[in-house]
Amino acid sequence: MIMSSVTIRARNLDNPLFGNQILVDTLAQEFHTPSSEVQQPYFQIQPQPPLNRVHITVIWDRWNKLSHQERSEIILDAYEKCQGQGSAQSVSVAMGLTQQEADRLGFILEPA
Amino acid sequence: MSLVARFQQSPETISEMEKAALSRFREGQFLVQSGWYDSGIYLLGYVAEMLLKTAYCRVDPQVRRNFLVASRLTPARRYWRTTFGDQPSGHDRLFLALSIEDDRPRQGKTAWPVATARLFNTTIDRIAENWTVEMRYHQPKATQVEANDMLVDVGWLRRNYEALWR
Repeated sequence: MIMSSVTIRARNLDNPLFGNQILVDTLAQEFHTPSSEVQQPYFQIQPQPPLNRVHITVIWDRWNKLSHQERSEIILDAYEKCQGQGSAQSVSVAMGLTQQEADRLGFILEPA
Repeated sequence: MSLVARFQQSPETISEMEKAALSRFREGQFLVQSGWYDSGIYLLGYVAEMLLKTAYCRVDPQVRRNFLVASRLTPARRYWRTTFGDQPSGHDRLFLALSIEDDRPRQGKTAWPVATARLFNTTIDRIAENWTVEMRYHQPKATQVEANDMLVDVGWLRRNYEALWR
């Protein structure tokens, strides 16, 4: 199922130990069952009508030690885990930013 | 603040890479015209890579210039790996070129005119014949003809940049 355009402020993550698989699992859980709490990660999944493509942006300070490519890989893995195998083929943009980067580049995710 | 720290403060956005491509093209042109053929070719190869990467990013009409280049290229590599079964390297111009052509219809865009497609493919093929990342560890081997070919080919990409993604 393709999600409609949403902005979610997801639950706080207290665990300081984040391997990439933990980040994938956590993000997939947030994609599947968004939390209403006002903590990171913030994310936006935007369908791009009329094409069957989506843009995903995730603002999360846990990205800090990861390259932009690694962040994108985690987002794609999380999306596939949530939406099913092959669903990442519809992703045209998978962008992971820290809050500082998002501020610098002018990305503001507004509540839906 | 150190130079490295200053670079780290400016993420690789489409805008940043487009400006870098223009700047590096001028530097590569200067090197070739000054007789520094290998250095010029090496730098111009990266210009080609940057132009292809950013052109691919902009094939998606909703992508803005403040988007990270990696945010478009990583899904493209995943698509390539899933569809064709191999993992393209970060410098693979053939992967980038084919991705542009492949993604245009997926983004609702028309195919290029036949002449443009032919010139594009010829240009990419010749760049692939004149550039390899391994050049950096070798003594100079390039001829003036090869350097001029590279300048012509990367110049073609630069002049036709908008046509690649519009």
